[in-house]
Amino acid sequence: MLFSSIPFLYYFLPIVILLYFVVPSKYKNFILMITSLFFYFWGESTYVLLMIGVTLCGYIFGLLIDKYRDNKRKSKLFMFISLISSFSILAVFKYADFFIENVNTILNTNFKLLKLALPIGISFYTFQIASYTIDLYWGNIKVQKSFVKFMTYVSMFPQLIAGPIVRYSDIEKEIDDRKITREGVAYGIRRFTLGLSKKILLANVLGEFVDIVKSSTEISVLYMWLYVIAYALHIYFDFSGYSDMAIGLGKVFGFTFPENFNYPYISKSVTEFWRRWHLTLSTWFRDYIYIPLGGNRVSKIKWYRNILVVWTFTGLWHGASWNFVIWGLMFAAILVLEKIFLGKLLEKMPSVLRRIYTLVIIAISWVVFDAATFGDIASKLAVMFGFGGVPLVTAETLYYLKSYLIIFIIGLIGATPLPTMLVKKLSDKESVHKFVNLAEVLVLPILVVVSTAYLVDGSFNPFLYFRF
Amino acid sequence: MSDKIKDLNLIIIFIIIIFGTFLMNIVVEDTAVSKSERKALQQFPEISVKTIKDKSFMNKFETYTSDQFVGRDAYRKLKAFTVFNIFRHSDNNDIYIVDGQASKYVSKINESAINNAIKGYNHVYDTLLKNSSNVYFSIIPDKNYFIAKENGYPSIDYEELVKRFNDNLNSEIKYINLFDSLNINDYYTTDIHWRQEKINDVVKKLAEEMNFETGNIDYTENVLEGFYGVYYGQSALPLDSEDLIYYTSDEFDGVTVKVLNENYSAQGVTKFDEADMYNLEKYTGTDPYDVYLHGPKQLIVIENKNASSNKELVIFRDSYTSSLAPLLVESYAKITLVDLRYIANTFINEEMIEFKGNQDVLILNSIDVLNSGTLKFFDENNMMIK
Repeated sequence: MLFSSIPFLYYFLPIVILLYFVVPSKYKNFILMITSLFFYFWGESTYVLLMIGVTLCGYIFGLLIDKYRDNKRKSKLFMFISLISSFSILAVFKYADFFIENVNTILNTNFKLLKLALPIGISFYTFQIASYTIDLYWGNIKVQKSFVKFMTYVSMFPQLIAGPIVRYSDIEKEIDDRKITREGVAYGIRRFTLGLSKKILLANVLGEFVDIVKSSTEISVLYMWLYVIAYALHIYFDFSGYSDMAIGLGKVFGFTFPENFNYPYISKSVTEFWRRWHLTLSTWFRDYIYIPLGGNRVSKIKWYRNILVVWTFTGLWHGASWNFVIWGLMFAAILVLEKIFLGKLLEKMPSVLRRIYTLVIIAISWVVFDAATFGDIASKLAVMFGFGGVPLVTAETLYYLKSYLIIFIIGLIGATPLPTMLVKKLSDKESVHKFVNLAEVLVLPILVVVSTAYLVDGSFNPFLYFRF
Repeated sequence: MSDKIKDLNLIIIFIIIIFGTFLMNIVVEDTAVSKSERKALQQFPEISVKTIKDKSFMNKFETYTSDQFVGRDAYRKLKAFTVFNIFRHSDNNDIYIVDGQASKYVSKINESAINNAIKGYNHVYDTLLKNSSNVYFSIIPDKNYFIAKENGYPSIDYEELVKRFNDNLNSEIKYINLFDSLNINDYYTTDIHWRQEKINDVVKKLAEEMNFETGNIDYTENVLEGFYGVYYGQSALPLDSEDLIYYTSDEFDGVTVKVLNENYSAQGVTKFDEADMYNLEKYTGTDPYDVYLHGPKQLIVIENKNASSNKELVIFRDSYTSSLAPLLVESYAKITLVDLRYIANTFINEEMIEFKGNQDVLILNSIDVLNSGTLKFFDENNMMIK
């Protein structure tokens, strides 16, 4: 079930909110758990037991790690067993066929593919359970003895299928005792509504444009650049919109989830971009792989190795396919170059040039990310840089540019902090503050109604995270 | 407005929207058909272990919630308004409007559909029409031909499309160009179809090329008010209704219309039901254009004992011909209309059409149908031609 769907917004959500706020505090986690399992069952009826099983393993091994806290060897063993068991399941479901395909290609063998459907959200919940296990072993958090609470943490529907990757430490206190305030609920509604609008009114429409270009036979240089810009904005508004909805829903239920995006397209370097894009994933890899490997406090060779390892995993996390591996390695190479010399060079350049440099790299990376084949990458890049033997512009390009111009403009401005800064600036003025409040009360419901109108009309509404 | 009041207002409004809609959706009775969209609406799906396991319940429930959403038409209009007036898109659901004319843009020739139509009609010629000396072929242009390109909308290469048919259809089939006999005002503003009262030039052109007499009878204009075409619902825009006009004549007294009974034909027995030229009951149905010759039918035979000749005509056709055929009855003693979307070419038998060799045969399809791939053709083994 997508957040941006009628069954979620107008059936599931009111029932959950009603149940959650009617029951006494001690049953709230139970309600969240049951409704989250139903939410998952709706989309993955077959795999709901798998998720419960993986969670149960994480829970039991957590208890064992805690029980043998004084016996370092045993607690370490249980941590490893927990990690191996949950990551093995991820490996089988997500990577087995990719591995078999490559073995068959390289060794000219004919091993049968498993053809297992990828359980939605498996990468998110596996990483959450792993963070709990490792943090528990490190002594950063206390063990959770209630299975209901642990299951609630793992399966909580606002963040289950598309993140952010919430660590147990983020909600450790709130899972036991949380306060639901008027400000919190209102903030949650505001955040959810903005996320919903980003997803439906911007991301989906830009995604439609991306599909139009992909199926076009009248490609031009301008068309390909518009495709890249549209894809960059589409994936940003889709993913950050989902994160906004998750954070907003979390707030309504009394949880504070970590931020996932911070205007990544205003970055002045690729290093900065990754401090602003999918923060919960990059910090997860930083804290649980990069730093344990030694981070940058090792020899230069090992440092580069660490970056390479982290980015290979980052690529693979996004999907079991070579384009994702190349995508990850591409970032590894650029980050290493920025660390060696490019970063210092960039610092001497004007901000505009640094931003253009970053955006061009990111644009190329999205071509790789969205590619179906290596040939697809090569042909799209060739067209973008004028080597595709296609015209600069066609009538079809101009038609769609005109048709989507307003969406592009809104998307480009909306991807910067300008709108937020403007609202804040106005809000800070005492004389205008009440009008800003009034506008918020008027605009947000309008956004919900218009988003609903788009859903009712059965518009393009993809779910991008099925590979994750 | 203070922050506290703002927060409270926001919470209350959100609760009203979410819970109000939830309750309304449960309380308000489901409807079977959306007249504006011309489609049957999804009903509450069957719940069973099987439908849950194969996810068909979930998928259908999603469609159900959208189809039966309270105020669906109003929401669709709001979306269309937002798309056109706020985001300034050039189209909504691929429908665009130029000078009040709504049209669905088509930017590409559907290669497989066109190739299939060429192969299929060549097969029909080889198996049914080889002895016929007067076989004609024509294409009815869509509205895009008149308004798309000049207004900056993507459009197909019409010259190329016609050339494909001319180059690849059997050379014995003569092409009649109707593109010059029509203009945008000959079509309904909210519909895909042409207007019966505006296609006199088409009839004249056919008469000229096929050598039949026309223009000898007077028609009476009959008006049905409040016609909304297919694009009205699809675009969800507040477009104006029009009058649907159909022609009758005293000369029609000698006309009989026989519609192939689909139930009988399915059982291998050919039987016709007598019918009227126009079916006014259809005007309140999902497609008011079905007033003309009852809408989609496999095969219709129109006979006119007062016709100006003894000639017979067979038309392989689509819905456009429903409004054209009544204008041809003065010229032909017998007209047989065959719609290959609804009857397989291999299913046609001598009780339906006797191909005598001296009839006129007209293959007349609109670009919409040719390019949509809905025409199906079968070979001698009843295998679909691809």
